[in-house]
Amino acid sequence: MAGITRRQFVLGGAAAAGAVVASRGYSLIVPTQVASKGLSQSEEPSAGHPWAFVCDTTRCIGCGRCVAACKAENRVPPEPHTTRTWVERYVITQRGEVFVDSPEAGINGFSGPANVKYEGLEVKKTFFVPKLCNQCENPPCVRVCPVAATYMTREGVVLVDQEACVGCRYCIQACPYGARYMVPPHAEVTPTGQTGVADKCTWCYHRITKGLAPACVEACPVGARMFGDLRDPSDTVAKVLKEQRVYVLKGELGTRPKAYYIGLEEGVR
Amino acid sequence: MTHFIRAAALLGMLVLAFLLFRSPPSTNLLARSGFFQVNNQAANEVKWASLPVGLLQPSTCQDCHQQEYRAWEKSAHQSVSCVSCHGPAREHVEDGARLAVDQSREFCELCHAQQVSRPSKFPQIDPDSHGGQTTCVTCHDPRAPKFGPRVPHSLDGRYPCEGCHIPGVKEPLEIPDSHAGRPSETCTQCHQAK
Amino acid sequence: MSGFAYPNEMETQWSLLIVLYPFITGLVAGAFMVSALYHVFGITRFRPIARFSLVAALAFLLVAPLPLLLHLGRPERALEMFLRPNFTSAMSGFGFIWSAYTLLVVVEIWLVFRRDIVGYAQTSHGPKKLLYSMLALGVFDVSEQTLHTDEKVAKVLAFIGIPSASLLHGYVGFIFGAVKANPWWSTPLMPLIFLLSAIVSGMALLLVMYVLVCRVRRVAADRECVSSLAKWLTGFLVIDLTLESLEVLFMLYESEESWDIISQLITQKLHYTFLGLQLGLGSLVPLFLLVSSGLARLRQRWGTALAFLASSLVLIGVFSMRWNVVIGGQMFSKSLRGFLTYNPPLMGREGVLVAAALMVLPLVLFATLVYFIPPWRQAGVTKEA
Repeated sequence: MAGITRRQFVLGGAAAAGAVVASRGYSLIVPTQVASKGLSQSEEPSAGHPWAFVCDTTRCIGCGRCVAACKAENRVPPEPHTTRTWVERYVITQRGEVFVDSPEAGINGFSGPANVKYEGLEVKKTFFVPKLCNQCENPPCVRVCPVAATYMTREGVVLVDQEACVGCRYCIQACPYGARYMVPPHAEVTPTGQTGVADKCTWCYHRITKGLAPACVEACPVGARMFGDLRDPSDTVAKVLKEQRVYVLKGELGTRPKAYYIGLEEGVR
Repeated sequence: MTHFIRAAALLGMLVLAFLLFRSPPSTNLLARSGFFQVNNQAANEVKWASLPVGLLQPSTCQDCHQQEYRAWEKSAHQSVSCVSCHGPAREHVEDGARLAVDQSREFCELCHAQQVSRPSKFPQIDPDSHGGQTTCVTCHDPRAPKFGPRVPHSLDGRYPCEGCHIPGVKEPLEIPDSHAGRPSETCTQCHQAK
Repeated sequence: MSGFAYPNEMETQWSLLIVLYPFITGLVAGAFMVSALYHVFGITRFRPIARFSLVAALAFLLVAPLPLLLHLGRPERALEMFLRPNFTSAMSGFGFIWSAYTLLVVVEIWLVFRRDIVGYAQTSHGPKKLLYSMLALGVFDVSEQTLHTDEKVAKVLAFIGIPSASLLHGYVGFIFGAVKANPWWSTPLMPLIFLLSAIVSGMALLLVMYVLVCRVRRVAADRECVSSLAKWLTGFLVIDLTLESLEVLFMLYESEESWDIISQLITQKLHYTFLGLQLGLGSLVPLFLLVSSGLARLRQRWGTALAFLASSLVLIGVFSMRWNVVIGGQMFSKSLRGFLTYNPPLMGREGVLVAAALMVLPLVLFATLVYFIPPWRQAGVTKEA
């Protein structure tokens, strides 16, 4: 980016070093930071966080098109255990047992042998739950990053600077939702060309900043995934959040997710 | 006490070295050689935002495929974006790469195979009994999926008859038991094809 | 895998090397505490190992960053920890805390050994003389008055060193204890548990090393010192065991949503390493051995042997504790619905062989250090001290 100005350190001599630390200690310790205008800053300051995501579990059919679309759109490494989004199937029996599965992260749907698994159970209730990064308002992953490689944009999207990430994986441990993974060291398909670094769903930052819906939303055949701008009162998501009772995952942890769920059941986590 | 002064001087030099190490000439060098990245979130935001869009919207497809678009927007599949079946179309638009669409039964079954976890109102078929093992598109037009072919229908790509019309199976059209064992060649002697 | 886990959880992110890291820093913190007990609190019975423990602390301290470095996905960017730290992350403190602490230990060792260094500089020849002269910074003043000042400064440094050592290890506990996503880690007791187990492991390590080194040198281990060390070890072990039990007891009693999976973790997945090694063989058995040898007025040989055995068991127990925290915390899904497995590979950057090498390295460093500055000798004159 043009116009980057580095903070300049003014150093005294060896004798003055102690005084320098004392008087400028703070500025020497805070991260080397650059002040310049990003995408979000170039717009007028927005009130709060304008984007939100809604997953409707009463509509999801578990086809896995979202997972496939995400892998293609974002060059996510093809293995099932490196995924930015996935679909879970919940099966709750009359006896109150809860079974959950997500074969291959749901990319190939739920038909086939896995379907046989629950035969013979007295099913009381069963449904699909799409999962992705919740873009928490209070993100634990951002807090724990030792080098400030993962950060939140002004619009509230959490991104990873993969050119800075050291690959310590503290953020993966800190995410309560399992939304983060490490790009395998020898991966051929990578989101940004960087391997050995943390990656996660960006809500398709390159799409939403252009006014497009995230790839998974575009690919969902039944409208189970919705994305919208809360500043626009005519927006579907704004309406859903106004008119329907919605729930967030693991709300008790205080992460304040911005992905909301319709039709969530106790025990979904 | 000289040793304390010397030690302090050494310590001072160490601190100075550390400060120099953190100063721009050194960090610039480190950044150029890939050991360090300046904390520049704004620039990184722009990087993420400028990744290529792969999955296109139906409005883009409409530019060329108007007939298909008109059929699709009136059909039961109107909620299904073009790219959901045809795949991301960026390369197709940019350099005319062919878009291969999966026409297998398995692909349609991803959505339409009967499953207890699916909302009951969603159209689902029993893959074992519905339409034999013929591909779904033999009878269903993906851009007008709700109805099978108008009868009488052509035999193009639909031969032999018992691929779909299986004795004892209700859908798509049950054959009376008396017809059991009759080979396809004999069907058109009585039933007219288009 | 059994049950359900989020797809991204299939990979165990923090491997064997991350088990080693808190184990090694724990040994450092513990070893330093022993030297501080002598230098600051005047526990004179620790005199024979006061200098010994400082050198041991340094040897392990120098190795501490290596497992972390090897574990990073991008090791070449490690220096970013200094250049662009994010202070809301406990982990970002590592570089600064480690550097400051290393500096402190080096200066402390320099002050405590200065008289010897000057002595060697005056009596040796050739490159060795040059080395010692450089270490002495060219100042050969070892008058009573100067040494007295040295001693005072060393005492102050040791005093500062106690909170520093606590910080060095307490923050490691914080790294785990502050992860609210993980119910097996998330407890404010974690930093304390790490600290106490660090002290325990450091004392046990010193006892083991001291006895072994005396054996190699064919001298008798100081009886008072060993029995005193064993007593302190017993005390800290009791507190440590109490804290570790309290943690689980609270989880059991409160029986939150996560207890279901954690009780299974303890009884089905960690039953050998937690119940067997950490609590049983690594805590209760050595406690029994230490207490009974203290009560039973054994002959010196037997007393030392029992203390040695108990300390070795404690080391195994503390290592198991690190394993149970780091790996155990990743053996169940954050969905609380399933278990994952981790078997460290033999080869590779994060394999067993590398880990073994990292455990041997501090001993090699220790041997090198004592070659140049033997803690048991003074200024060229061989003397038990």
